[in-house]
Amino acid sequence: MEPQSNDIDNATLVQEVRRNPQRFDVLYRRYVARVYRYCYARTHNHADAEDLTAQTFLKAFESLAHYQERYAFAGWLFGIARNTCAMFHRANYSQPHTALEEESCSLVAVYVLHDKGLEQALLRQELIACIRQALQSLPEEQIEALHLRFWGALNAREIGVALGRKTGAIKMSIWRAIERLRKRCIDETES
Amino acid sequence: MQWVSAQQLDAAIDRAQAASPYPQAPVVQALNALTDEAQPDAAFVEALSLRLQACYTTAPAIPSKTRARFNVLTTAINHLRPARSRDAGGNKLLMRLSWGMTIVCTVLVTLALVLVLRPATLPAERILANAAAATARRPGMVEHIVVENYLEMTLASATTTREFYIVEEWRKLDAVQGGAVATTARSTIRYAIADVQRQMPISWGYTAADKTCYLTRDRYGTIARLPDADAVGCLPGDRDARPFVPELAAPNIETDLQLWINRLQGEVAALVYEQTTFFGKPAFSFTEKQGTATFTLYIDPDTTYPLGYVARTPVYTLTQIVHIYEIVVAASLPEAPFAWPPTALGEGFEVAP
Repeated sequence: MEPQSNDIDNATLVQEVRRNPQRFDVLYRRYVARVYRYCYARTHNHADAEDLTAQTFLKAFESLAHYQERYAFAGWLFGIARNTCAMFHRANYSQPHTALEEESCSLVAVYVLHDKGLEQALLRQELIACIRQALQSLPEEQIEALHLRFWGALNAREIGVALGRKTGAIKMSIWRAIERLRKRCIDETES
Repeated sequence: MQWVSAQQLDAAIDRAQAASPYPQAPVVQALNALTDEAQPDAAFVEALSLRLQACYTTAPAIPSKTRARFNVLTTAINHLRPARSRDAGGNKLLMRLSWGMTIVCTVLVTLALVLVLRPATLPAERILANAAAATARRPGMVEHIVVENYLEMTLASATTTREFYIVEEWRKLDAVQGGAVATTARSTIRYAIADVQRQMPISWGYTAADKTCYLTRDRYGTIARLPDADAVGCLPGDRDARPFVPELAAPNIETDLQLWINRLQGEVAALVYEQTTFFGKPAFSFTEKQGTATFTLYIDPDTTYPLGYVARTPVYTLTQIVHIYEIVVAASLPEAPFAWPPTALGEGFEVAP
């Protein structure tokens, strides 16, 4: 029985794509949502995120011959996404956007609808608003690591490939970023 | 300061769930919440897939970085977004003519349809009576509803937050004491707003007299359960899990529809009744005011099923668009919506500790 596309690892898929380019669609569907979220976090705009996502995959398809299996595929792909977004920013803005658009939050709708825990829901929303603002005060490298970790859903090893850094340094960078956000939005509020 | 190792942090982020006790958990949850809405549009995903496939056919081998090949790819990108396309002058003229013809034809057809199919005016009482009959609940039946929810809320800090998602609910209807009809089991599935085909559930909920169950699946595929729940995510008894589980608290239009229609029938004189449209569909609308809030129910003139609901208050605006509303015979169901654990999870799925 042939394995389901979902079960095939990236390295095998890349080899298949080299023989049959149409298999690229499996890689595309596996990563399109994550690449889109990452591009959206970088651009703050749905239309630009769509354009950058399209360019990322087309560049990846074009460059697949140069991909080396010893690197994590997701890290390699997000390295392309990162460069594509960086080029976009250089062409369109003097400063990269780190502000984040209003986003969804869970629970609020139903808390409101049932008049239960509205205060808690609002507090949670205030936390999200604080974090959204506090993110802008982080060093660029920490913002980049958070974008890849949460919006791109990469693990530390994959982020290391995308950023060209060691896995341990990435983990520490993410930990420090989260600690800073916690101190800014939770500890200070409580004190 | 409490230090944790980088390995512990990475594992903790992966495990982060609502009840997780580690100090960074609220921040991680907030960061996760920030990403929830940023999902690609399904139409975009399909369009880009098609364009990529077009590249495969124009480039059977992996393309080299020649200028000509790059042009093929660039053209594909440009065609993805017609509003931004950069066609040659001749193509532009043709496109304009084509668009002009399309618009003229569309207007003519729309006019014809409006004139021919416009529903006759019916009194509000008649519409509400028909709606009450259409949504009447009978024992042995199953109510199946799919709703798209949009909530926009203004916070005290003057920031605005939005929430979008799709909820599918199955409700088992049985006769209870006194001859009334009640929901004896409820299965609720939540999807991302972009998942219009409902392929990737984000969470599953189940409530019945003997148990309350809830499982979530995050973006990494991790299945999680409520604190203190058993191995398959269940708690004993028909407890009120709603404060903890948003998906189990069904949207108004599902929970209160019958009661609401019945109440409206007794208040027709105070309602604002209009023939209008709701997201492009002809509709009858019934608006009631309660203080500073207005609530509008939209009913399909053909089926007299609910089309949607809009609530406007000074704090929030909620729009619910009904995708599916049907009441079916339980025995005819093609799937097992009340099975727990959900059949979609398959056998041997693992729940995060």
